[in-house]
Amino acid sequence: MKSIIVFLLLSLLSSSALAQDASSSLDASAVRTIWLGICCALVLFMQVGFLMLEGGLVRSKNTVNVILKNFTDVGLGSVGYWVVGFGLMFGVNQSGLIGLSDFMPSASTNAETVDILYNMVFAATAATILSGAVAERFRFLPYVLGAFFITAVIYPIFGAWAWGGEGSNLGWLRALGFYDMAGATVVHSIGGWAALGALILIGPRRGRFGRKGDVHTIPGHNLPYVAIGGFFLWFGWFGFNGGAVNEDMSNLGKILINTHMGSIGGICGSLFWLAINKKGFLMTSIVNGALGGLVSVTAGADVFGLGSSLVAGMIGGIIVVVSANLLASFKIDDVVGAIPVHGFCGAWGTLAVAFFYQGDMFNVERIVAQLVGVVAAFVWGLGSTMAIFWALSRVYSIRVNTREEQRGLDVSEHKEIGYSDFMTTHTRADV
Amino acid sequence: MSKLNSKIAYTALTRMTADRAVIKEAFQHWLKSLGDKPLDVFESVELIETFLGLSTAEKKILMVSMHSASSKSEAELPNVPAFILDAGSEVGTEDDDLEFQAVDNKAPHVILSEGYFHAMVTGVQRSGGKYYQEVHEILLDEGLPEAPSSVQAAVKQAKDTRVDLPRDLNDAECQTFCHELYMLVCDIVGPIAADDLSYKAIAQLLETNEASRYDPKKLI
Repeated sequence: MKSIIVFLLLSLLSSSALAQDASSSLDASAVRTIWLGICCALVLFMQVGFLMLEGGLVRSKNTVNVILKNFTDVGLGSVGYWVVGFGLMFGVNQSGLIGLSDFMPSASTNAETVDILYNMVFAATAATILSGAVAERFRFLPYVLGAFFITAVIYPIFGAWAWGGEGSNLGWLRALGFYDMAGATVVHSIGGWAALGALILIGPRRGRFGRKGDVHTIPGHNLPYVAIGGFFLWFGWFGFNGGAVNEDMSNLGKILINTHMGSIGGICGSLFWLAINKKGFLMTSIVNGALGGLVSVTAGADVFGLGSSLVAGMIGGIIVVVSANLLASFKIDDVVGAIPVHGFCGAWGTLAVAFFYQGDMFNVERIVAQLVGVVAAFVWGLGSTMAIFWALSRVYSIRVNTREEQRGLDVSEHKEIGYSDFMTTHTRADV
Repeated sequence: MSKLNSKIAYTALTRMTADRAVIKEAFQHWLKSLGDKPLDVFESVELIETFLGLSTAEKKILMVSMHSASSKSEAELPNVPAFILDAGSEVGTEDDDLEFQAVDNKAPHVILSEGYFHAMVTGVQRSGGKYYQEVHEILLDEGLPEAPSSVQAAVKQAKDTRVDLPRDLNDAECQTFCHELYMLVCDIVGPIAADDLSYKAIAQLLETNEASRYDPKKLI
């Protein structure tokens, strides 16, 4: 791990140095390509963060299942995105709805190749958001099929609306003036609303909500994993947002520091809310608060001032805690808090672009455009995911039965146990 | 001397050990000390524990077995063999075997399922009175929906933490019974507490004699 971090930092430093050296043989485009290559690694590394965060927040009997979902959706998702998704998203988009060229893309230049890779690892993030929310009861096979559809179809189509097209043939949201720098809505909200759709279909874990309406807390089995996962995501987010740098990279510093401000704002916001509610300083809430802060600045890290980023992050941190309780009151059982972090904070961060756009705050036209984008993401993300999982549920049970849920998905779905040394008492002899 | 109480003490001792000499010795001691008094399970267990020097596991089995036996009618319990009752007779001849082995002809998975019920409901009881009350109300009103009708009837007649399951339940029916009970407890106290109670119940059952004939882990 240390060697990876040192390598990335050295690469970052060397590319910065090259960029400053006018006499270097590398031009700005090459430096940007190197930087984008580093961002690919950072964004892929975010999957480790997701994996640890989600792995820690489930019970020990479901660890293998949720980790394997994270691992597998990167593989299948990347295939789906390369075969279909990239073309739908960035192909020639005359209708403003979907691209119809560049399927299975290959590039002739170094820069284009890295760009394809960056978009592939980026796309996998949208699907992986779902895995934590539906953990501990969603069958493995329908999940990976669903994740494939999200990465190959659902995310790219919304991406085509918000980012697709060129010249006069822009995606309809983009043409409307909708702005989302690195995917607060395109990636995070779509992932969050997809998770909401799946949760509505499969229902809560058995026992999460009592017969008389009481809410039973189901703590994760390894909270240190959660904190480490949160930090890894924070680290990877510099690549997630940093990859949206402009052609001459003149806004890179701003994007990176605003990303950091969002996260620390999220920590402050969640801490503040927990303090005034006097329910204890919950680590899971604070880690999710930091992530909510990061999502909150993802749409506008290049257009926010530092103070605005901090405020956007703080509000995001508060939204995470409040909306988690709100979902529980509707008996929606989101295991890792994916909907508060990605759905609600994605929506907030997208609106925050209109509120805090540096030099042009609270522009009404921009507010309307952003609002339309947020609503469109909700309708598309929720509706299309529900349609896909509903169709899958017609041919294959998407939820494990209660006996499998009791035994844990590691045993029932994978015949493997995450912690075989420590789980002997309740493990059936025939497993 | 109460015939019922003697049968209860004898049944519990046979669940704890198969050693005839130990059973006879302990039974005679119990008979002399408490045989004429109304049965108090705790007092009886304490007496035998002090007399024999039981391990924690043995004491637990004795306690559970005596509770279980005390919830049954006299007709349901095996007779105390003559060589156990008679202080002067020799211990263990082959002629005694038929009577001696007729402790309880329930299959081990049925006995273990009863033990699972006892451990789970006792655990809920310890978690709080309101949970216990809720479990009892649901068992009485709704029973366990997926369980066979004979089990439903048994559950509705359950006394506190004891249930007397039909003898003819098969392996799968016992598994359904235990799973249904787990789900009910899960709804009442939440899955973390339910898992904890279930693991502890299995750990207790693993220490019983029946566990050598049927793996209690199969029940969950």
